[in-house]
Amino acid sequence: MDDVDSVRRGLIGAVLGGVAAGGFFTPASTYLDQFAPLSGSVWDSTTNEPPGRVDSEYGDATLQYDGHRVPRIEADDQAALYHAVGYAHGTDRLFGMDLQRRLMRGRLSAVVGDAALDSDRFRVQMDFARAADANWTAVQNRNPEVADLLSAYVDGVNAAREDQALPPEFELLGYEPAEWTPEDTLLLQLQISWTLTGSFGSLRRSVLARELGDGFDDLFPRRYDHDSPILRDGVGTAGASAHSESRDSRPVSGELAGWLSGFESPPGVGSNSWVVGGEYTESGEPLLANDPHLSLLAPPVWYQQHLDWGDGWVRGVTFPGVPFVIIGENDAGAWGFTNAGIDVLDCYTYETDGDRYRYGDEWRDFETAEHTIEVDGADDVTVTKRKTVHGPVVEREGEEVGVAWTGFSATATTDAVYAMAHSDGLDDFREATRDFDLPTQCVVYADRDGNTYHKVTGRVPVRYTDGERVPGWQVFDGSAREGEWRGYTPYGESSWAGFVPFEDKPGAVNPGYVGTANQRIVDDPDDYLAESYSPPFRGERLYEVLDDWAESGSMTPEDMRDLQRDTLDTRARRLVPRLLDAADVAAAGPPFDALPDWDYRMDRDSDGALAFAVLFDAYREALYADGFAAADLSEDYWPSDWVTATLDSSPWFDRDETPDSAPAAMRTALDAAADRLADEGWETYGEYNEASLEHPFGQSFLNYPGVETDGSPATLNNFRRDSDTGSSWRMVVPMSDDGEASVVLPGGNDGDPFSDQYHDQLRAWADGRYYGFDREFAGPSIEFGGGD
Amino acid sequence: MDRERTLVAAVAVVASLALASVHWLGLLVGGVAVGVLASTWPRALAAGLGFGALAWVVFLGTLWRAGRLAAYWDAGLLLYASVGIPLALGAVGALAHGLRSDGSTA
Repeated sequence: MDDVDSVRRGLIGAVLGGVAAGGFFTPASTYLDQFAPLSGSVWDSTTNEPPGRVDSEYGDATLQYDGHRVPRIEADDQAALYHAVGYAHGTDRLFGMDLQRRLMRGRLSAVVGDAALDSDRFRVQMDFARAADANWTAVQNRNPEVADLLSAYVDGVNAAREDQALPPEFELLGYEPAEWTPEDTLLLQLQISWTLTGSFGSLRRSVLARELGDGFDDLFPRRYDHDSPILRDGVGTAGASAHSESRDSRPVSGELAGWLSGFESPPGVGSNSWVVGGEYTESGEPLLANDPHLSLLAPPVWYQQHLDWGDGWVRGVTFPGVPFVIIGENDAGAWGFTNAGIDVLDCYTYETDGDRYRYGDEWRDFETAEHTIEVDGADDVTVTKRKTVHGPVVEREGEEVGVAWTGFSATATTDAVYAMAHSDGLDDFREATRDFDLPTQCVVYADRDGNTYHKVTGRVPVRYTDGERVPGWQVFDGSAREGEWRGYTPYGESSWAGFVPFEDKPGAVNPGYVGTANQRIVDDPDDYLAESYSPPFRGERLYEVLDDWAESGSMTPEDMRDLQRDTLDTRARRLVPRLLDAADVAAAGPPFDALPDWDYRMDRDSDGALAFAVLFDAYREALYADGFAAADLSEDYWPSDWVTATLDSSPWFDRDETPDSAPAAMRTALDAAADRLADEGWETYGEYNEASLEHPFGQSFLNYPGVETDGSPATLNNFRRDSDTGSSWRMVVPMSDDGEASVVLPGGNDGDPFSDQYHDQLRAWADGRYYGFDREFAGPSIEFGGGD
Repeated sequence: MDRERTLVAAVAVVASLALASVHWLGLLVGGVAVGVLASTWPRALAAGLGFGALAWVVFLGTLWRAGRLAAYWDAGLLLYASVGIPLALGAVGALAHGLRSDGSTA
């Protein structure tokens, strides 16, 4: 009996010991360490609250949150203020900040494995990190005051990183973030600039022209035929274009162009903004509205913050990692941005000889450096970074192009963003705009003295070949010294001497009202500005409404919010009458039979909207799928919605692989759309148009819940379901003191996925509701000060 | 005697929860403690599971205090893991009932 007991005890002891040992020494230990209730690091990271007091060598500051986790930071001293801003960003958004810098430095593979290797290769070759280094050196030399504020901010981020448990994503991925640096902040500034201006359109056009031949011009017009440029009736610069076009250089493959295009921003990035002068408003004071269209992520790309330094204040949004309010309002005025669509990137091909490339009459060595990419779960990968006089060389499978981009040079944008946030009226703001070297944007501004302003920001290159100005819509022969930029130094400080002077860039002071929605800026600029602009659907609708309302001269903040919520789709207004002529929609049954009486509004409960959306998708497929496949070109190369909505007679329809005519394609599309609708089971447009915003980490519990919403890629109320891009911040600000300034984020301000403020604004955003910009700050608070 | 055992069990549970708040081993130790103190195998198993459930409820309390409870219910795999771990460790720990000299009681 004793033996039996001993055996039993031994077995039980072995089981208990085995479980305990297994918990320490097997892969289970990771899960126990992370997820065990009470002690798990993931739970610790989310239940850990910031301390009530933080030692700061920069002086006293107070940070207090409102009910939406929006911080108000008060300090008399600017360094103390921005140190606390850094602490807020480090507390609420550290994972996103780290992810973005990893992306730009080409260090994603180190934590997510070889799935990110392509991205890392591209970004290492582009050497964005070196550009950020050059930027930091330049900021310190040019503007020590701003450099000191950046340093204070960086110290704030790192204090939060050290004081508190790391965000849960770090625990899940099993790594700790390195110290935040000023270069990281400038790198994030480059990231958004790349998103807005990094375009390989010239390469794509080169490939398309070669592969498509006849029909290319119809499918890819340089200029859309419309009458709603941003600056109309001779406002701004105007005049005859005096460019000569040089020949295309040696051909670039569709594979390389496609690969590089994969590192551009997703379709749908753009924005709306407008400013209305007091002569057109009920209050007699200007109104300003802005909603930038960027990737919609969980958490949002923007972080809302309110700053108060005693004799001034500013509130608005910035990118976590960047200290200064980028879009917002201060005690003197308000401002917003839309992407200008200006061409600030050129590609160059070279005659090469091993380690050298020909540049005019001489052979030069590529500047080279070896770089090791760490890959989680696999061997390290070595990439050779190569550069020419134009900038980095990106290579894929033996094929390469040189790239010149204004972002590779040091810029004064950081100074400009700070100066804008602290500006004291129109004159001050205009001076700040001069320094806004990157990205090229359309800025709109209004001040409390009743002024309004629009200006194109950013350095705009002028290209020269053999001493003549040439447009940038081509791939240049770098060896023949085509398309040279004068006054440009990649990875150093440019003089910008050969670029378009500030005064020559389009703009207007007190223009009455001006509407910008990424459409053509002016009809006939003196200088080459862009290869092509976004389709003007939103721009024409914006002016249509503003023109109408301007007649009454009594616009209100509520009108501005209505305009941001406007769902009229001018694609549909163009295309549906043609569809009705071409196909029997009544015979197709619901929802297609709603099209004849439809008001072209992309509302979630509209049958017409659902019918149009699926029909438009199917019509694109019918028009392009076979023709482009025959040319070995993917869907990424398909023409814009403007072409789809307007294409009528064209050599495109004469090909064997393409439909006989646009009406024939419409009939095919109607059948395909009906089939798709039956397969998918969508009963409302809202079911089709669901915003399912995802966290970059890809774990389902980190994603936002799906929400049905209104709008389309072509409406002012902007949402593109295919790429989850759209209004990333809606802001309406009156210059009158009526308290009606209103804003909303597509999600929440807090990056902690377990926080109640992770997506507390999502439903309001989807429903077109707003929150007052004025807030009550009665939530958790942190006092800074008392440090050595 | 029962009262004494209850008191010991209560102290053991509190101590185990304290340990569990810094390391998952506390969940196993808690199961061991209540298992050893139980008078029968079924009671030991129930006590082990009960300890795991109690740890989970205390955990819910910490989430509630931090304002994180609402999102927890949507946490998917994390939710399942945080439920399963204390129940499993509590139940396995309760096997320690068999270490008693009268561990064969039914």
